[in-house]
Amino acid sequence: MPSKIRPDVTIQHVGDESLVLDLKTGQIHQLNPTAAWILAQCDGEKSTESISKEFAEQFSLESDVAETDVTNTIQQLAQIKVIDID
Amino acid sequence: MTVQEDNINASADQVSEVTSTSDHIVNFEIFGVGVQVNCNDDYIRQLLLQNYSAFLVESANADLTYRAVTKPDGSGYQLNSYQLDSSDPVTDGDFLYNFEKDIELSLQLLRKEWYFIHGAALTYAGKACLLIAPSGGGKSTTTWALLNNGFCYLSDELAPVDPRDMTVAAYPHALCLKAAPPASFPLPDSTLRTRRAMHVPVEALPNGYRMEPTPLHGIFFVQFKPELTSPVIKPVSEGEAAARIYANTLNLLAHADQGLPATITIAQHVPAFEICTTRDLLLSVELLRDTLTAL
Repeated sequence: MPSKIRPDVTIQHVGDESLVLDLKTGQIHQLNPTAAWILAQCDGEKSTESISKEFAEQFSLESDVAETDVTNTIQQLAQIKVIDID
Repeated sequence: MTVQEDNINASADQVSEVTSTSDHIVNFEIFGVGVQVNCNDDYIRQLLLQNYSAFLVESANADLTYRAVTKPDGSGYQLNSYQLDSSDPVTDGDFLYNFEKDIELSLQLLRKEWYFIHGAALTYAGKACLLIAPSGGGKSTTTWALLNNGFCYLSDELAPVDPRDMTVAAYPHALCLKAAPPASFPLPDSTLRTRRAMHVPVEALPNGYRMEPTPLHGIFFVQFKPELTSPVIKPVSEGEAAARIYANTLNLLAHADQGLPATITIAQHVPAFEICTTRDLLLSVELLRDTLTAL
């Protein structure tokens, strides 16, 4: 399922980390480099599977490890209302 | 080791000289903002003088005016301003709290260019540092311990940072402690005790206070961990520092893009650390002081 960054969040990069600010609630979230990379792939087009495949290549991971990481991260990003999952 | 700071201001003599000019009106100047309080009795006036003596001026063009009233039946105190109308009498501690909060909010509105962080600001050997902690996290107690060990006072609650030159403006009202510090760091006799808190006048601080903006060299996120046997300090990343600073900033909406770029600028320019303090405050003080000295 594709996922997309919500329009009411703004993202700023600080070194290799990212800060995600929810403009509606004022809540701020700090993402580590891998979570920031996964968030950047959430363009509303790519599926979780395709992001996992790219993630495995990018970070030299086993495909099942990559899929677990990406799935969990996307769920967490959805939970904190940074992305919508279609 | 104790370091004498330059520019320590306002002796007790200066205070009495200024206050003798009026029986009822007290004038302060804070961040260039004139504040005038018309008091109807001496006790309430003394409350203000003890807490804001660093800002006393003989007269000021009043940007903010207050009326502080002791109820004739002795049931409490009221504070009124253009934005505050407290009809219910309150205790002396509540009165000071209300005044403090109203002043802080007004100053944020009048000095929008500054970035107001909820935290303590201290200096050591000309370097300013901020202590940021959650409520009950040991900020005030750590501040008091540092002031007893060579640090000089800028503020205990409100740290205005100028993002243009990374300096911290001084806001040295009386140091406010909600809980008594450990016996090894007793409070001076001149401490004002209200029902709400203990207020240490700035004249009684061991190493005095500064009024000048001071370059910011370090930010310390304080956590009290009584279960630890010795304090621990570790650097935090710029991203984490920015997120933590952001969560403790009071006037984010006064800045572009809800304050996020200004927050990041501060986090990228000033090293930040998490320090876990313990019951042995002196060890925590030494660790923090050594870290700041090395920056």
